[in-house]
Amino acid sequence: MSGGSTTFQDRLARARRGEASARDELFASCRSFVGLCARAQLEQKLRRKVDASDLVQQSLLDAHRGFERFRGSTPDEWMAWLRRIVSNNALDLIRHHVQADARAVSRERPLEGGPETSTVAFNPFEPAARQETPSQVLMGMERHLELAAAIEQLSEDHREVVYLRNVLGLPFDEVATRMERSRGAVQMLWMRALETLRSNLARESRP
Amino acid sequence: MSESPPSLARSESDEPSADVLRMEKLFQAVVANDQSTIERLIEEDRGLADWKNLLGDLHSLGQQTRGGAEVAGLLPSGAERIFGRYRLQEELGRGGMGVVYRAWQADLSRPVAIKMILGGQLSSDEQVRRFQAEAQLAAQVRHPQIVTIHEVGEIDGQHFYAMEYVDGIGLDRYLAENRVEAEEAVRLLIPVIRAVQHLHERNIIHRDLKPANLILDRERRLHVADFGLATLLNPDTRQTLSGTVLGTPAYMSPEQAAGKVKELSPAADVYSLGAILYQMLAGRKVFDDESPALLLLQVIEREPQPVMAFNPRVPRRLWWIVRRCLEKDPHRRYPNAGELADDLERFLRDDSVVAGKDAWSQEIVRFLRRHRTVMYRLAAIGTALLVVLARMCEAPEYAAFYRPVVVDIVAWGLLVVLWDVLGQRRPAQRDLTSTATTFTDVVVLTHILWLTQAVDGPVVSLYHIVISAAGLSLRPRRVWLAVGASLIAYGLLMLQPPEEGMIRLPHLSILYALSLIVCGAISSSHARRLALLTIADKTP
Repeated sequence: MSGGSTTFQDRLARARRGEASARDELFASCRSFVGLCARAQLEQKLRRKVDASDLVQQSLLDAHRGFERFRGSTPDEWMAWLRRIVSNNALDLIRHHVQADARAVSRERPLEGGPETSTVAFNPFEPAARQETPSQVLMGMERHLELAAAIEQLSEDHREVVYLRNVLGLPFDEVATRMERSRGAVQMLWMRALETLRSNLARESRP
Repeated sequence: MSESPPSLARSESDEPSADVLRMEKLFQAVVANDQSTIERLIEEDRGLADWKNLLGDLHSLGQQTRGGAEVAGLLPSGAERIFGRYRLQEELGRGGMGVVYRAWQADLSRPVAIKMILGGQLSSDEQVRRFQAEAQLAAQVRHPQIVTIHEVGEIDGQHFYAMEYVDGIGLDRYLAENRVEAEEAVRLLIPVIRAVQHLHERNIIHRDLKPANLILDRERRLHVADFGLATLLNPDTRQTLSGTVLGTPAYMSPEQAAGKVKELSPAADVYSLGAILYQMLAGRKVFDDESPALLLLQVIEREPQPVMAFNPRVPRRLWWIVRRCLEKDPHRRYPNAGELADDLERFLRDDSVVAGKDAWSQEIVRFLRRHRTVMYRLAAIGTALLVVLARMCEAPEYAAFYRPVVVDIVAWGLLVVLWDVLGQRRPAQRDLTSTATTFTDVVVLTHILWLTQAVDGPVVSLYHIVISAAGLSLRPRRVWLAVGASLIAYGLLMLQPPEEGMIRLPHLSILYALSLIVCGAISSSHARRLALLTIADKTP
């Protein structure tokens, strides 16, 4: 586990010195994670399955371009930064394609605070507030990326059930409706998906 | 890791097996961070111990990807979102300084909304002081239509307050998709106005009333949320005006928009309430413009269109009430929310409302204000007409010479009025109609110069005025259009031979053309500067 953050720090430091390969490695390792973020960000708002590939592309591109503006140093800051870029792009996307009164909403620029601020995209390149409280960090970045990649490698059904139930946190009834199966079938599927996921992870962690 | 995984049921039946149920319970306990249940489950089935981490990690990944995991910078992302005795569930809103979460208060089993200072422990003493002042003030206010403050406190250096959670949607979002009948709009809004009256009676001005700050609950009652945000988190409006993020001035009173902080009174809230009611009745905002600078100017200068223009079913008496709220001069409005609510109730009871028809002098003021730019133009055109007519009386032998000029000037006036009327009818096309006005100016002026062969005289300086006037639109593009049109027109006039006996010096003509360009550069840079001052931050 401890290797994760040093790899990250090392890659980040090299990428900042201008090593293109380090930067590519950094982004490649986060691809699955950004993919999950994109789906989660969109589906939370839209409440249906959407093709998030454009959002993933756009966000990775933005992150690539705005790399200099990432001023954090820890893995957590890095992931939060990536997620914020995805989240901002997701809001834009939703605003442009879904909301009925799109233009009126985006024109609103509240003074501050208030529920309306959810429509205001704030600057994703602002440095995240640095408040490390290590005891509260339950999980490192390496584990997040590893899990995201492992989920992506599952079969489609398994991936979907783990994504809906565990990642998006939907209740089984809703998962069943979305997957157009019975609740019992979805629960069984979930169980198997978890088993597969676990054994895959175990296989990978072995040398 | 070497332990064998627990045996898992592999039956194909549709009934969930005991294993599935146990796993589901464990997952729920992990999500809820319910340690005692987790321990009990693991005690029942040792094999689950292994799964606990995977489920926890998956949940953590979910939080990380769904967002909102950082609590105002206090909790690093990926950590459990437990905050004292509250469990933070979802970010409801975020602004320059504050962030609001929906949360669950475990000990009292109730949903709450928690507001914190953005930036966590990094916030300055001044921010903390304001935040606490806001919370304390808000906590003193008890009114069914104002969200109640449950607790004001600090956890690990993070200042927060917990307030009543109102399940509903912001009025802004509701209005985006729904129309409200006039009487219903009044009935919906009166309780909120009474709530603001409650504030006014305690010498508190809200200052940031807008649809997004009003929540419509499932029983169709409106609540004032985020009370005091503008008042105390940001007590100095000037700071907002000069700050990087200029708020939407759509609901801001003209005195606030002009930054006259010292003049703020409860009448400023009355204006905002009037603007909200206007939007509910008309289905559109009182003023709207993509440029915050222009919107600000409209709030300060322009007279609102009667609601009936957008919704003919609105009774005139109701419009009088709204109009009185939207008066530019705070002294002409209802002095406080209480009197506004009284008048609206009178309207519902069909008694005569206090706000009445205006005196004719006030009607004229409103008329002039509504047609401000066209009135200035007509004044100029009228003066020109008078001068020409005077010249005709003085020298009747030239009457035939000046007659077409008079026709031109009259046509000019009529066209200008026409564009104004069209612009008022269709605010969306105002950009087009005011461009048309600029072109009309250039074309008619050029025609007059052509007829009178006066290009070498002083009247040609009117092109500069046309260009400067285009600058008032605050749109550099419009200025350059005026410059372009003027240059072409001037070029055409150069085709005319000079008056007999006169010699036109080419370098003077070039100098004149250059002066038009310089005038345009000055005007457009004025416009650009003003617009820059108010450009809100943009996401990269």
